[in-house]
Amino acid sequence: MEEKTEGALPRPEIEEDSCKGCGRCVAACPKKCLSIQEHMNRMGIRPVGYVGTGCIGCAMCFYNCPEPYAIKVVKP
Amino acid sequence: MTKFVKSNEAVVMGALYAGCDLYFGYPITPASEIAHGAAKWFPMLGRTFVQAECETASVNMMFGAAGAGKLCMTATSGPGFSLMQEGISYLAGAELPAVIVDVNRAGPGLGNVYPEQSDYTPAVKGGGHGNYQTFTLAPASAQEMCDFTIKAFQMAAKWRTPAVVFADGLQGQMMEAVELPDAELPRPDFSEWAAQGEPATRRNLVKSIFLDAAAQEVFNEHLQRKYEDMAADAMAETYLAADAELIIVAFGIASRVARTTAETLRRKGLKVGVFRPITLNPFPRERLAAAAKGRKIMTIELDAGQFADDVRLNLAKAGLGAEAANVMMIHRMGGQVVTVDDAVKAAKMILGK
Amino acid sequence: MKTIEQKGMYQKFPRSGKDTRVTHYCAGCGHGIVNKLVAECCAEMGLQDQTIFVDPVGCGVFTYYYWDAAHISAAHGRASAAATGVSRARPDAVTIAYQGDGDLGAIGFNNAFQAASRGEKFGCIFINNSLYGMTGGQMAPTTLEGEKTTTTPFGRDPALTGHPLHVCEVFNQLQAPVYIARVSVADTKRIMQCKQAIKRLFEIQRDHKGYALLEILAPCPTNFRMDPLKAAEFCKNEMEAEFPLGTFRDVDKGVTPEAIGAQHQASAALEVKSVPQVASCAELFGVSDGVDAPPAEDDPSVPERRFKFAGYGGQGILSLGICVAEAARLEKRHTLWFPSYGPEQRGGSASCSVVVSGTPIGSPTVEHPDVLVCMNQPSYERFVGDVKKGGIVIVDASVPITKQPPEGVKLYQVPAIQMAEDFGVPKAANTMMLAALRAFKATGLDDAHLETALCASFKKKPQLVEKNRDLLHRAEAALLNN
Repeated sequence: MEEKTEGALPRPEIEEDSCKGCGRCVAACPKKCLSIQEHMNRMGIRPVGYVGTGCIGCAMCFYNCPEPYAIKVVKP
Repeated sequence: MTKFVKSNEAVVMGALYAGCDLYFGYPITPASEIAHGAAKWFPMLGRTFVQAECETASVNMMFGAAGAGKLCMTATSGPGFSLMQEGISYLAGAELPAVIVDVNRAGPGLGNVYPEQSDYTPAVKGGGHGNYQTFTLAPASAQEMCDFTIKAFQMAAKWRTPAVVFADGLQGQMMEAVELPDAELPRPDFSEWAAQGEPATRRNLVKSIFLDAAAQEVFNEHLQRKYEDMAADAMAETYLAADAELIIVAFGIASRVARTTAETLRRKGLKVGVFRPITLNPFPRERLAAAAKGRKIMTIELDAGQFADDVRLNLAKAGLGAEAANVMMIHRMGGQVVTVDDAVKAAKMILGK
Repeated sequence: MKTIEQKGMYQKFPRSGKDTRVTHYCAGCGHGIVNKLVAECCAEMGLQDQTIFVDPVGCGVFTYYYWDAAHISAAHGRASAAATGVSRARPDAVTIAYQGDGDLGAIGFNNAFQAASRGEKFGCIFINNSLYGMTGGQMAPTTLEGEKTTTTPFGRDPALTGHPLHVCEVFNQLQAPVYIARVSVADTKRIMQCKQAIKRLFEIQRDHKGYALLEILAPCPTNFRMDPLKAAEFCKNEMEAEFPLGTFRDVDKGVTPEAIGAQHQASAALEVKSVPQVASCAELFGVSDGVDAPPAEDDPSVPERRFKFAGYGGQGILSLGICVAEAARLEKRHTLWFPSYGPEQRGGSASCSVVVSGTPIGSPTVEHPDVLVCMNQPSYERFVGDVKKGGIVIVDASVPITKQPPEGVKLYQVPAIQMAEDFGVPKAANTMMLAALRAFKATGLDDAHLETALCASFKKKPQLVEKNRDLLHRAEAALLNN
C-alpha cells in the first residue's frame, strides 16, 4: 500500500484486498479525495485509493463501506 | 409421596423434578393437560411457560432456549408433531437437548383424538430431514410418564439430542398412582457449548449449518457414531418370557394388553410371554434377539404395522432372519384398541391351539 | 492518535475453511453496512459478553462469522421464535434477532408478529431490501409495485400479488412493543441515523424494556441489477416512497401512537392474579390430596374388578369414578381411571372406567365391566350388554329398561336423581349412586374408604364435605330400607 500522507493530517488507510470496489466511499467522501484505482487487487477488483490529500477524518468512507476491514481512518 | 394423577400431569411433574426450566407449547387434544399443568406449575416454581402461536413456534422456541443452555420441553400430538419435525431436525443438527412429548392420536390428517401408535416412524426414526435420530422412550403407565420424562431429560443432556416421550391418547388421559421422586435433579452445565449471554460463553456458536461438504460429512459421521453409542442406554423388559413358545412384542399401552393376554393364555396352559422395548430408539435389539430366538413372534400394535416392520428389521439385523420372516401382527387403527379377547384368539391361532 | 476502524467483529472470518477478512456480501450490499454498525454498537456499549445474536436464514445467515458475540443460528423464518426461547431462558442477556424480508416478512411473519404482540424482550433487526437476496432475487412481500424480480419478470402486479407489506406499520398496531422504527443505509446521513437507532435497540435490550423492531431499508445491487450507487439511489427514492422512514414508537421517549392507547380498554371485571410461589417440587406436590393413599401392594388373592360409570356431563360421573378409584388406593390396590374425552365429552355424554386389582393392571380398557353405573338412557343402552356374567348394573330409576341386562347380571334401579332433588341438592346425584354402590356391596371396597374418598373429592369446597357425608348416610339408609 502506497500512500502519500503528510505529517499529522488525517488519512484513510485502505486494505486493498478487502475492497470490493463498490464506490460507496468515493461517492460519500465530502472532499472527493478517494478514487477507484487502475490496478487490481488479489480478487481481480480495482480497489479504492486515497488521492493523497484532502482527508478531514470524517470517516464517512468507513461508514458507507460495507466491508469491515477495507477502510479505516487514522486521525493523528 | 404418591399422587393419583392423569398421566399427562405426571409428565409435567417429571419435567419439573428433572430440572426443566421452560415449557413451550400449543394445545392439542389429547395432550392439552400437559400444557394445563405446565401453565400452572412452571410459574409457581419461578419457571417459564409460554403458549406458542403454533407448534412450529414451540419447537423453535425450544431451539432458542436449549441453545441458551436451559432444559426445555414441549408436548403435542400427531398434527403438531408433524409440524415440529423440521425443528427437531434442527435440534438434532445443532446437537441440542430438548424433550418432546407426543401423545399419539389417530391419523392421518385430522384423524381423531383417540389412541394410535401411528407416529411410530417420525417418533422413532427421525421424522424430519437429514441423517438424524432421536432418543425415544415409550411409557405405558402414569408412573412411567413421570419417570421416562425425567429419563428423557437425562438422555437428552447426556447425548446432546432431542428426546421423544412417545405416548398415546389412552395413557395420556388415564389416571394412576404416581410415586414422585425424592429430590429434584441438579441442572446440567452446558456452558461448554451454549450461548448463555455470559463472558465465558461469548465465543459459543449454536448452529446446524456446515457449508463445506467435507465438514458436513464429518459431522454426520460423528452423529452416526453417537447414535451407535446410544445403544448402551437401550431399555427393555420381559414378562413370562423365559420358557415361552410365543413371544408377544409390544410397546407402550399395547404392552399392557400384551401382558394381560399372556396372563390369560398362561391360565389356559399356553406358554406365552411378552417382550417390551422401553426405548424404541435405541432399539433393544440384542435383548429382543435373546428373548425371541427360536420362538414364535406376534406383535400387538395400534398402527398399520410400522412397529412390526421395525421388529422384523431388528431381528434380521441380529441375525434372526427366520424369526423375522415369521413375525405375525394383530393391530387396530383409528383409535380402536386391540382387545385382550382378540389378542388371545390371534395368539392361539399362531400356536395352533 | 485516534483511529476510526471496525469494532466488535472478529479479525478473521473463517468461512468455508478460508482465512479471509472479507464478508460474503456483494459489493455495495446494505447488509454489510448494517453488520458493521451492529458490531460497532455492541462493542461501544460494552455488550459483547452478554449479547446473544439469533441469526436468520437468508443473506444474513453468516453474521456469526463476523460479530464477536454468542450466536444461535435459527431455522428459516424462526429467528423470532428462537429469540423468544433465548430471551426467556436468559432474561439477563441482550437478545438480538436479525431477519430479512423472507425470514420475517413471509415464512416467519406470524412468529415475529406474535413475539412482538407478547412483548418478548428482544430486539429484532429487519433488513428490507425489497426482495429475496440469497435465493436469487425473487419477489418478497416487500417488493415494490412494478418492481422486477425473478418471479415478477414483468414487474410486481398488485392485482395478482398484492401490495408491499409495511411491517412497521402493521406491528405498530400492537400494544406491547416499546420501540418501532424504520431507517435506511442509502447514504451517509441515513447511515448515521441508522447507527443511532441500532444503539437505541441495544439500549432497550440492555435495560430489558421490552420488544423493539428496527426495519432497515437496504440496497441489494446484485438483485436490483444496478451498480452500487444506483442501488443506493433506488433505495432512497423508490423504496422510501413506499416505506417512509421514521420512529413510529419509542415509548420511553414519549413517542407513542395515539391510537394504541385508545384501543386498549381492559375490562374492569377481569384481573391478573399474582402467581403463588413455592420453593421446590416437594413443596408444590407435597400437598395432601385428602386421600394420602400409600403405594399399591401386590396381593394376588384380590381379584381384578372393572367398573364403568356413564351418564351425561354435569352429573358427576367422572368424579364418582375417581371416588371409587381413590377408595381402592386406600386399600393399597393397583388402580386405574380412564375417562371418555374429546368431542365425545363435549357432546354431553360422559363416561369413565375404573380398574381395581391386587396385581399390576395390564390392559387399561374396560370392555366387560363387573359393575356398570348408568345415569341416563343412552349410556344404559350403550353399555348394559357388555356387563360380565355375575356383574351388577345400577341404573337411575328415571331410565326406562328398554333392554334387559345379560343373563346372570343383577340390575338395581336407584332413584338417584330424584333422591338428590328431594334432599334439596340436585347436584349430589352421584353421591346417591355412591350410596347405592355401598348399599349393594358393589365395589368390594371398604365403606369407610369410600367415605374418605368422597370427602376428599370436595377438598376444594370444604363446606360441602359434611353435607355430602350426611347425604351419603341418609341415602344409604333409605336404600337399605327399601
